[in-house]
Amino acid sequence: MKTVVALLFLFASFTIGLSQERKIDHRKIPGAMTNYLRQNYAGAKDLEYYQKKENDTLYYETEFTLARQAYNLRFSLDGTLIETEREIEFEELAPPMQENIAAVLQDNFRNARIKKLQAVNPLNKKQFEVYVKTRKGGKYAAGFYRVMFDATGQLLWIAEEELHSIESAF
Amino acid sequence: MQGRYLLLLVGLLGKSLVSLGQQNANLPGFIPSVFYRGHISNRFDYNIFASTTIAQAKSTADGKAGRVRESEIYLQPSLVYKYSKELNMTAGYTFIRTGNFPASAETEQQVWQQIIFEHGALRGAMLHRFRMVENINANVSPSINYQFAFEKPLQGRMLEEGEFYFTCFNESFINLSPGASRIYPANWSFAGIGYMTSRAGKLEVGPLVQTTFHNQTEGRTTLYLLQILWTADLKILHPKR
Repeated sequence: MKTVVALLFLFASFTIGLSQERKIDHRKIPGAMTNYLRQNYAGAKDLEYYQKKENDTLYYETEFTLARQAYNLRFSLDGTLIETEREIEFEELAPPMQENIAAVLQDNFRNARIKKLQAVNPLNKKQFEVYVKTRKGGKYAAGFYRVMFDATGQLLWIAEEELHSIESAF
Repeated sequence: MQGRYLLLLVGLLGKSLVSLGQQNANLPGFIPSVFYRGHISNRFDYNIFASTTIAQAKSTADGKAGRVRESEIYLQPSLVYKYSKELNMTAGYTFIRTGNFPASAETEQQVWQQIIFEHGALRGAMLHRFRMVENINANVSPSINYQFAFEKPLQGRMLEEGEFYFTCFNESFINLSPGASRIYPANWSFAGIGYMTSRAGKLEVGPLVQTTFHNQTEGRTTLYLLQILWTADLKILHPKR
């Protein structure tokens, strides 16, 4: 049995290079990325670094918390910032933005409850990603939805989240 | 980080092997298992779990002591209601058949309901499962099983194809029957390494220790099993072209 476990770990070490994402040591990230993080997120805690492959392109990502907010930053291989994701509270948004988002949610869903809100900026376009739980009765069926807004609070799109059952054998 | 999980796994394995030499109520064996997860709708899934436990046991027949192969067949379909990503409710049925020979074979049937709650912990996923079980064969004998489990990808943040993960659980069985000789009749512990394939689901291997506590005079029986679990879903029926 010990041999089986040892062989599995040996196999695991070989396949680490094949995976889509792997955790890396901070010494392996580009200097430009280190400098950017030091200058802009000096008090960051629990920093973790990953190398990620998406559509045959390699990226670096870092995940950390700062002032009790969760951040996820993506960098190119030379250490240039590509995208920022930051979990925020609804109350942090400007009042007109809050009103726009609330109006869209009320128009489409019944009793939409915001589960998570993220400020993101893919391709340098500021957007807001809202995860909501809704009840039966609106334009959309009861369930979980991901709603995307642009920087002004205009609705971009709505997508239902796919629920997967929690796996538990025996 | 991977070394820590390996240490836990080897520790459980080593403890099992050491104990094997010390107590005669310990039985080695293995347990091949299959878990299939089917999709019905965004709110409902169904699961089918099947396993067979194969262990060597001492027995006495016609006044002669010998070793026989003891087995237990376990078949368990269930229906899952996905309340949210973090909370599921399940109702299921379990058929258990023990013993190899028709004369000694025993069957047990159970219906059960469970709640599973999952949350993030240590950059992995922790699961708490409360299962209320009613035995429908003999007198109604309810019990509550509590399982806590932990799973963590060994490479990135999410488990992806071609990656390994660490998994472990402990399940406590609490007997609620009035007049039960043991309130805590059994405990199962498992720690293993899994691998996510691209099309054929997940494969898990590791030691599963099943302990049954008898009354005070009979002590306990412990099965030290090598569990091999294959978890599959719809992808196996509809592979990518």
